[in-house]
Amino acid sequence: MNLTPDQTIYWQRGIITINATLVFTWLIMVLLVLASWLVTRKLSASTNISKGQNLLEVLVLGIGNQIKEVSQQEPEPYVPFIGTLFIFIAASNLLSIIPGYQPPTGSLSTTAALAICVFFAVPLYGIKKQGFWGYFKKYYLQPTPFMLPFNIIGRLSNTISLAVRLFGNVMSGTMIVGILLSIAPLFFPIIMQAMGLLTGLIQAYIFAILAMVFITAATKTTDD
Amino acid sequence: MLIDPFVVIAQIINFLILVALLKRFLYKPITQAMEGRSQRIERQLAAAAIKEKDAEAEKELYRQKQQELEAQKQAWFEQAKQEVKQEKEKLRQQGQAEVNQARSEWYKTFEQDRQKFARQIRDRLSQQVVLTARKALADLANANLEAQIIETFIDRLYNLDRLPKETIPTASIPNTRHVITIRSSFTIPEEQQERLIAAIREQLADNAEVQFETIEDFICGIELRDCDYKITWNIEHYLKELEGSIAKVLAENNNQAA
Repeated sequence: MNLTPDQTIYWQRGIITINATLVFTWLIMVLLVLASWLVTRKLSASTNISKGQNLLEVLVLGIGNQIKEVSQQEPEPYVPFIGTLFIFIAASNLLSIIPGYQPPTGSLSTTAALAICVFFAVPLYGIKKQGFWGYFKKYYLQPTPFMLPFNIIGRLSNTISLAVRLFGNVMSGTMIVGILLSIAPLFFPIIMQAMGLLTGLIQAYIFAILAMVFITAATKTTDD
Repeated sequence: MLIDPFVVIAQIINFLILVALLKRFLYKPITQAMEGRSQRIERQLAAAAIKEKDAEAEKELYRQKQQELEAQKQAWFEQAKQEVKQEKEKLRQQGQAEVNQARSEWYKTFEQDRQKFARQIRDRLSQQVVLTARKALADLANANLEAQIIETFIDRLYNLDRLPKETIPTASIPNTRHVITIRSSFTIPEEQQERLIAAIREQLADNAEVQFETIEDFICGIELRDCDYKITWNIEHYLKELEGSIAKVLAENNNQAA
């Protein structure tokens, strides 16, 4: 039994490895973009809209509202990044209902990649909002400059905890299902699968909200 | 190893590509559509507000017009009532005037008829009285009526009261001659003229110049005129009394009939 989809390798040459993580990531990307394109190619500004448009509007509006609640700022600059995090992780986890599918978020490489994206997004948004010195002073030299090493460690641990939390949850879900299949193959795996769907969605929400919290901490000025 | 650096880098790139793609195909169009709808709803609300305002204005206008119409209707009604009242009063007055005129005309005609009738009665009565008196005198005393009238008149001259006897000579005399006129409905014979002159000169004025005139208007009688003074014996006096009695009887009959 494979612990992560990284171990399912389809093609390899040197360091270039095409494994299940990448393949299923691409698959999810294609699915999401295709679905978005199908719905948004015939958008209506009237009050009479299609079901797909309605779903996407609810999704985008919900993401925006959550960002606004967390950050107390206008959500527009953050929606693409945070929204994509949530949608990608949620789609990865929800598709695990399909037999033979291996969620990319079950790979520590994927969650680490997402956490690294957050790690870099935080200073980018912070510097964009309040300038390099303002960001640096507020985020790393507080409460005193002596705390700088600890602050750096804190930021890194934030990133690592993001990655490990998501990986651990998704991987454990897959593992539990695998273990239960060998112990009680008839009934329990289904329940656990259903639980996995809920957990996956919650994990996507937690990841996106934590990312937003970090970004908010970096972008929130004293005026806000 | 759990973390494959190549996969990590690839996933970072994948994720960034996904962000770009979703921004292009999902967030941007959806946001634009929602903004478009929001603007459209705002426009519709604004248009609805304008229409509502217009409708309110129209409503107010029609309400005012209705009030004006109501007031005008009331005014017309009042005017019509006044006109009807005036017309009614006018017609009433007109009718009253016509009735009054008809009544006065009727009274006039009636009065004329009455007077005509009374005159006819008087004429007929006088004629009849004269004839009757003449016949009675002729049958009973073998006397002529005119002669009897003159005798009565001479007798009256001799029996005049003291006052007229003193008044006549002092009456204003228009000329140097004192002319006394005797008017009668018949011609006085010569002899009786002499007796009348004698009686006048004896009783009234001894220098009087007496003139005799025959008047058709007299029914049957004789009259002495001296400036402002006159002495008369005329059957008309009796006839007028009779006429008065008849008129009184007729009026009583009319009142009873009314």
